[in-house]
Amino acid sequence: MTGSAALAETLRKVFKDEKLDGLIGYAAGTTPLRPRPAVFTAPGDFDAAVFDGFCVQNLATYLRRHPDRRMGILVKGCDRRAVTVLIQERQVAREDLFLIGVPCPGMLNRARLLTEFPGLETGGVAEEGDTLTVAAADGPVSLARADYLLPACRACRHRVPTDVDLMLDAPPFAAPEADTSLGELTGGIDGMERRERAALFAEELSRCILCYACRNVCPFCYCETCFTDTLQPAWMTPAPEPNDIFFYHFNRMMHMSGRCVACGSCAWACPEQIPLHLLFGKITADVAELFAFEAGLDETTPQPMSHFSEDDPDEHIG
Amino acid sequence: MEPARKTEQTPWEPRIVAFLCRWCSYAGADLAGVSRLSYPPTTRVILVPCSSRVNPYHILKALMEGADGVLVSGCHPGDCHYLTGNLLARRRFILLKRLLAYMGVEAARVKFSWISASEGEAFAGLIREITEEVRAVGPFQGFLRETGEDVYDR
Ligand code: SF4
Ligand code: SF4
Repeated sequence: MTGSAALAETLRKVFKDEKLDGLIGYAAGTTPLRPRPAVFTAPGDFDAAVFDGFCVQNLATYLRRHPDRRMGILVKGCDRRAVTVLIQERQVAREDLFLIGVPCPGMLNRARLLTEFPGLETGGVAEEGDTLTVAAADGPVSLARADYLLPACRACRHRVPTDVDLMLDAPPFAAPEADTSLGELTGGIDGMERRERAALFAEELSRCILCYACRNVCPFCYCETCFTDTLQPAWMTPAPEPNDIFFYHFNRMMHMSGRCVACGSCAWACPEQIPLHLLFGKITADVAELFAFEAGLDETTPQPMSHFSEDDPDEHIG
Repeated sequence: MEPARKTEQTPWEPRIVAFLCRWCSYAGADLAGVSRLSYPPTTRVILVPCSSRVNPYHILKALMEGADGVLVSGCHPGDCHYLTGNLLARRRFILLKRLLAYMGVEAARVKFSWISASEGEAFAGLIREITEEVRAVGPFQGFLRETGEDVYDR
């Protein structure tokens, strides 16, 4: 399906027939294995459209930038759930949107592929069925797609978007669904000694340069002024130290509770390859366990942090 | 607040910052005072309109600025002056407490409780208890400071 003429044609037709002002999808990027999000605004644009196993970035992030326009958007399972959350939070209106669903094949771990096969170029990974053929330096190598999925995608149980206006055919490549869960991915850490956990996060987060890519890519980090940017009060110190890094990640996760759709875009965007799935996975698994809630599955169930139940757990009140 | 760990002449005493709801726990602390109950004087009370006014920012910032432990106390369920503030806070706090523990912060550092205006004795007892629990885990060194070798750089 990568850059296929069929995909371009389908999207072009939708764009014209539905009289859309723009259509948000993916186009080939300038760095290897990293398609870029693109807003197509003219029929001629669509020749650049691609969809492959590297289209990780959640496109719902871009919806708020096009208010009062009729927008089309390509949605995988997690993008679709993010749209639902944005509708619930009154950030976008369903009637302004034309949703083009694509059954997600599970997204690939670009960073790992590039580490194991240095020098890979865009198009250096051919996807077919459940295998990947990688154009390595000394000839093609075959890999199981399932082994190279991103952690968030390994845990995903909602790959096929629901309630879309047009559903595309499933791409001719995919990995089997869910071989783990967010609870399982983070449960190992819960089981560690406290000191080990502290050292693990001290180590991983010591690489954080506070570039805020993880915030900027997230569909739900849309506050006009982020707590990291306020000067009065200045929650973050001007010369950040470990306390500030902790403050940032901890509070971002608190803000994600009951909203994060575990799309993995933040982990994907991080230039330092910090395993952010360990953080959003934890808060998302806790919300599921404590409040029996998964974000973005339907518009009518209220978000857990905006209400309460008399029978909520109180094991933490002492 | 001047961090306790910087005054080396006097022995370290756990510093507790207590965010108390004005309608219940703050009055409970007042009652402990007028009843002449004794509890550790290293507690700093911050008056808040409701336990749900307390944001995770406040709790983390208190620790970052020199507290060794934080208490948030509000009205018992059903007694909230604003009817449901404490129930909303309860949801937030359980996630907060779990995430803190997950990221390696000692559970004793942050505590939540319900204390009414008539529970002066309970307030004094709770502060004594927290102070001892925090004493057991020692001064707070800052977030993300514990490396594998347990070396602190300040
Ligand atoms: S926190 Fe990360 S995984 Fe969750 S919705 Fe935002 S970008 Fe996606
Ligand atoms: S993207 Fe990575 S380096 Fe940048 S702020 Fe987020 S965690 Fe830190």
